[in-house]
Amino acid sequence: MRRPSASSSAGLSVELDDVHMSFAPAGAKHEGERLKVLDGVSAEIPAAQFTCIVGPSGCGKSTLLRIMQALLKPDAGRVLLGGKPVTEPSWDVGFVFQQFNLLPWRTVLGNVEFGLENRGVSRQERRRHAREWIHRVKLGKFEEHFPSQLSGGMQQRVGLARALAIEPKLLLMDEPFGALDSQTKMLLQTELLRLWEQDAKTVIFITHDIEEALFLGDVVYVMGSAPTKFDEVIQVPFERPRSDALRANPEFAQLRDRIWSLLKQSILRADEAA
Amino acid sequence: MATEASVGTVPGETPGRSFGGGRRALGALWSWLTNTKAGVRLLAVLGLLIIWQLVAAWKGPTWTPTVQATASAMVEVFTEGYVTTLGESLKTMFAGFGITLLIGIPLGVLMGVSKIADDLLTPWTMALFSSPKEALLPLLIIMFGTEFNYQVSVVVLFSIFFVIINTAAGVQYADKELLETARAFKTPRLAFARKILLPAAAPFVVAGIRLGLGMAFKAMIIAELWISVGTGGLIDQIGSQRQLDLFYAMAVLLVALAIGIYMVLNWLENRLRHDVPANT
Repeated sequence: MRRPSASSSAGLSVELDDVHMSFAPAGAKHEGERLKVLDGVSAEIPAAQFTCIVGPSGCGKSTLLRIMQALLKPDAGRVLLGGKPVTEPSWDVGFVFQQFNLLPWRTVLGNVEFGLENRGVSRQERRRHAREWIHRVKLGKFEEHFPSQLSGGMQQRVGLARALAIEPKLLLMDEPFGALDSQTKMLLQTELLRLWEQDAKTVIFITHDIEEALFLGDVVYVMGSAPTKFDEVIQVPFERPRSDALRANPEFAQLRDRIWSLLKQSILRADEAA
Repeated sequence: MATEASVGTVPGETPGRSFGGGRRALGALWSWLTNTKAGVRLLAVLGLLIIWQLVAAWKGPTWTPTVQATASAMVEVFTEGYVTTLGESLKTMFAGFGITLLIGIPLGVLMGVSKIADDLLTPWTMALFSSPKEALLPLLIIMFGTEFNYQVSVVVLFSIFFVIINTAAGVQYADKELLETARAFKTPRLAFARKILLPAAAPFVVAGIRLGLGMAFKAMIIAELWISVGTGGLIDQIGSQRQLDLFYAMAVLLVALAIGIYMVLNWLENRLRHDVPANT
């Protein structure tokens, strides 16, 4: 069931331990008005697993991902990466953003080099390394292009190369294909799997697209509307390597319907409460 | 007309042909004038000159000198030393504008990065930005006299708020997403200022400089008009002596200079913008 060449030493296990998080909504004056988002999220994610988290918009799944890279601090609870508690952003973690977040004044090459620069890698070495990753995401001809000259799909390839170039053990992806059209999205899903199958990174992938989660993940965590924790954990039984044919598999459709009915209940409950 | 003419002449004769060729060239010139940016601009200038000349013919030289009279006065501007006076005024203006940049950019950066500084200074900058600063000139004369310091202070007063406000906006534009990206990729503090804040703010800062320099130019003339020295004083003087051809020549020169400054900075600003690719 696992990828053939996976060596689990390259990945990083992730442990979520009763994570709570709330926000002060705009205009709130008292502590008591805080909006609860994460209500005690716990999970043990083994190294080298491709984990997807699906949930309705606003449920706090992006918040959870940011807590894992210390971009946000939880109200309570903790996150352990490879057994060590998270206190600050780590070089073991690569982050891919929904809106790509490329530096618009840098070329593709300059963007992919960005993390390596901050890490203090020598100019020659980071150039060589960045070029290699640009080739792996099939942007070899676009090294000197600026983000504004690229399509959305190409921009996100740059975002992916930037995150992978620092050789992270854990890849955090925040709805990375959410801003793309459906054809580009399917192509990038296949390419992401191809890249992932080459080494054994742990991937945590946030999406609101149920089919995307099933196509990519070993495990799918389902989140309800905020305040929430994981409502259900679904083991995805499909063989790897996976191809587009999987999308027409009846079992795939069954799992999709099951997750949808879970999400639907949660969304309807939240609407009634509001 | 041209075709009729060529039909009427013996085939092979040149005049008709060359006339047709001239017409084609004229057609090409017209299409260049109406279809390209440079052409349309040239057309606008030509139109202005024609209207100017018509007004001059209608109202006479006590109202508007002709284009030729202004052109020969322009020669005088360059040969009789008036242009030296303008050079002196520009030196003073750039001294004042240098102070504007030295104070305005750091202050704008401070307002951009610090919420407290922004809350504290915004009411002041906004109040001074939108008030008629000419009203403060008598006060500045009392404070600084009628020398260099006064002119410089007027230039600073008129130009600094454009620089402050645009710089602050530029720094604030380095938006939440870029800040988060910088943190996710562990960007050191200094590298953050150099690699994120500065390039994000650069086009805004240059826009502030462009607008501020336009105001500095205006301030220089107003300051000098007020106490009748330098270029402003010269304009005042030739105006009251009714040397209108000289007056018009000076006015044309000042406008040309202002446009030149604007164009250089506009070009620089477009080079620094990153929402559009540099090569388009």
